[in-house]
Amino acid sequence: MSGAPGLRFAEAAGRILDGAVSGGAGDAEAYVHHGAELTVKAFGGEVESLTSAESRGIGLRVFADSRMGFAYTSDLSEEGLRRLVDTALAACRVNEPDEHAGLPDAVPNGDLDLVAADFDALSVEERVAMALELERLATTAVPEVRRASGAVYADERGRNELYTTRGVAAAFEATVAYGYVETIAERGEEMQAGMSFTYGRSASALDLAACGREAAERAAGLLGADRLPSRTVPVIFEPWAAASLVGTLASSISAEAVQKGRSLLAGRIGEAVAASCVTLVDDGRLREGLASRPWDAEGVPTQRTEVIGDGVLRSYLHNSYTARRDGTARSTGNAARGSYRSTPELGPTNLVLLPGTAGPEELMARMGDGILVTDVHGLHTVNPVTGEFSLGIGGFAVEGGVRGAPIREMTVAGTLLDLLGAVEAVGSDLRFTFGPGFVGAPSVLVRSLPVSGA
Amino acid sequence: MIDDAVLRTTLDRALRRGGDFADVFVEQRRSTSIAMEDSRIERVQAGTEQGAGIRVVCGLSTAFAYTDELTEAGLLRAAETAAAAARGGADGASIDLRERRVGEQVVAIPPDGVDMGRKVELLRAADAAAREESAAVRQVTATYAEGIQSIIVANSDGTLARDRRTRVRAFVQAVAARGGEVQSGYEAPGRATGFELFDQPVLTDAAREAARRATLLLDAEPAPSGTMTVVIGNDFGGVLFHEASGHGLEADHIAKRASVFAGQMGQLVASPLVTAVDDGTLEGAWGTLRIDDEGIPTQRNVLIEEGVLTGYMFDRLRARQDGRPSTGNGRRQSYQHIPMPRMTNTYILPGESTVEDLIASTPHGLYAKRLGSGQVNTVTGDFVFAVTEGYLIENGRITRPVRGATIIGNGPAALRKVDMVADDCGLAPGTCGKEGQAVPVSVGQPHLRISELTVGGTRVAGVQL
Repeated sequence: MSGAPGLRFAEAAGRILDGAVSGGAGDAEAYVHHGAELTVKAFGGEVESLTSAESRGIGLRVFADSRMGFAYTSDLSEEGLRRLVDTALAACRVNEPDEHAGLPDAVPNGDLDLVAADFDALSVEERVAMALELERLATTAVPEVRRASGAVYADERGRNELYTTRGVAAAFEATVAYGYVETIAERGEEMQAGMSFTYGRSASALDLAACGREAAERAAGLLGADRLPSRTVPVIFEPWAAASLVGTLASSISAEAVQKGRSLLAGRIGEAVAASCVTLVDDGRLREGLASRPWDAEGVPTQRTEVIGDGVLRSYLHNSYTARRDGTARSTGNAARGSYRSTPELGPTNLVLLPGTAGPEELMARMGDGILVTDVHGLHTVNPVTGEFSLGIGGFAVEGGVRGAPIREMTVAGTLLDLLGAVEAVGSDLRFTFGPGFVGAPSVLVRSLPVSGA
Repeated sequence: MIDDAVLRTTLDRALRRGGDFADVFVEQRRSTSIAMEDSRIERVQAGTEQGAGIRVVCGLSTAFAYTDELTEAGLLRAAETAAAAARGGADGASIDLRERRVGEQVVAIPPDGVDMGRKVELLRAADAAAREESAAVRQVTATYAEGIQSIIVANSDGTLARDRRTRVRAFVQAVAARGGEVQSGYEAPGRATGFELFDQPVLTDAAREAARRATLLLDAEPAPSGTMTVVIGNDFGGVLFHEASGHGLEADHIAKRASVFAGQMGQLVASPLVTAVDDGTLEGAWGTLRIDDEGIPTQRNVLIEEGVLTGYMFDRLRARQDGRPSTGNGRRQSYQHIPMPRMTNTYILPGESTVEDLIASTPHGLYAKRLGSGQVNTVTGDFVFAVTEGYLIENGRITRPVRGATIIGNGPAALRKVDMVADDCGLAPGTCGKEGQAVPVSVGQPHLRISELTVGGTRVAGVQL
């Protein structure tokens, strides 16, 4: 992906912006995504599949008479581009006027270094070998795990370009590489699954050995898991489980949800909404965060936003639309698009529950008796309006501060606000996972939660 | 979209360095969606995605490349990339493509020919219907969506097949509030038909149903927790079978021995009351296809017959590995994805009891009238589902509504504990995700009773949160 495609897109973008203006648009914006991906899946010591491809597409927003229209295409032929403009203008005519619709005033400035210098250093063969190696490492780490249901190595170089009728012409690139493995532990008839992943900006950043070992240990650790009786107990959520829960807050901290009356945090700015050890930030410029970008999906520079500071709700996340509708807010650079096929919406970048100082063992010792949750299931069932949740959990019983027998087929229930308020301590072991954006959290000790089982 | 001659050249090029099999999947998809929120049009999105995916298979190894450029040059470049990544196999011979003609989908009113204003009217009517249903309704979100997918599949066995798949769907969410209490209800009717779906008042009916459920939940009490008898509602209740058993019957999970159903063919894996099928041929159903994404005609496959495991779902690759024909279950999200064994319309057949029998013979339990989406671990079969409309069953009668319940259990264990099956089977549309690929499917079942299941509620042993 050299300079050439950029030139080509700039030309196509120029053509459709001109077309939009002559079709009656006051403002228009073309968003281009171009990506090159390699994905390798290994199974049973062989390459199960290897995908290599480049893709690109354009999303066009047009604004006329306070109305917005949107269309997208991956057909960059002359006819395809003409249809794109016509479709966007037609959508604009159907849409209702909205005084807050429009392009942001802020424009892209500055850059972030999101491209690994050695991204292209490894050959395809070497990258194929990484998937095979990850599978081998995961199936030789512990005796109970002799096979994996899949091991993946994947990388991608993506380029985003933004052009507007107000003269914006900006681009940035980012690279990412990750390895993922799911293992199967067996003992007699019983099978348990475990997974882990490793990520970075290039293949050289991946720690395959640690990833393979963790996936194996997670599966083997669950062998013999059983249900415990229902009760109300202290709970520690391990970093990935905690991060998954943090991810469910994303909709509530969105200014869009607040303005539409769909947030459980509406009207709570300046109030304590969590225990004082809870500080939550959204940081679009974190070097190690995979959701980092110099500017957001409509070109507004990203920033670090403290959402909850010492338990107090400080800010919601804004894009330029919600900021205008709010009247006094500024965009926090949180316009997000799933792809060129969608309009800029609102979403977190790297959403991080800041770590404390206690190690995981220290948290367990402090808890004494309770449950250590390593996996949560059914996160999509969390009610974003009320915050009510009832989640499937996997993990371990903890007795006298020591990790005991594994548990399965159990649930933990409550509301997100009660949970935030009941956090007793956060650990030092911050880890990230994919969520809405990229979410990070350390281990979290919660005073008490109802856990259902047998 | 693409000449047959170009397809032939592309296949030749894909097999240039060897390979057992190659195929080209050409796709164009035109989609439109209109969303209304708070009685205003919130978003109109429309667009075209097009491209081609080229696959070269050697043994069990797949090399795959795709392109967005539907030109001879674009296809040949992708074929080169796939060929370069392919490893071993026999030399390709020149390919003679023969078109396999299949019937066309019956579409009375192509949705892309319908004026946008008419679609907006539908949404307005839904919005009004939800508000009319209940004074407690505070917000209504209604979305209309249509998609027309045109595909061509050509492969090195000489198959050439085309299909055009039109689907229309609507989503309605109603939020009801009273005092400090806020609840929501959701419905999403959809069919693989044209705009004629809306000749019937499906969208306003859905809106009323969503509003009714949201309002009902305002008065619901926290769900109990513990182990109890659970009656699962029909239609979308089939999501339980889909997630907890259907995925485990897909041949890739079986081949990898990553399924609890591996090695169980001919064994009793469910209650003898359970017969389950996957049927891709049902006219107009959401998961219906005339041919699958590998050009193979879909069919009706019996997965479990009276409790005995009788069939897995195969795509070409897994069928060949097993020395048998594909069952027409090779599906892919788009030209950017590799096909896998996937479900189409999967459902449990009706039994002989009535819904009244199921309830009346349950002294104490939970009636999970409507399930939300769920999650399953295919290796162990463990599942978790939200109950979006639930009631207590007390002394053989449905009594109070409850909220916040989840059901959790193990697929095969739950199937064995099915002790009553009603006679009211229905299907409901859904979107199924697997390895990051989403495809439209139907789930379905009659009301059925599971003698024992874990319910996770917010009310535990007398403690209310």
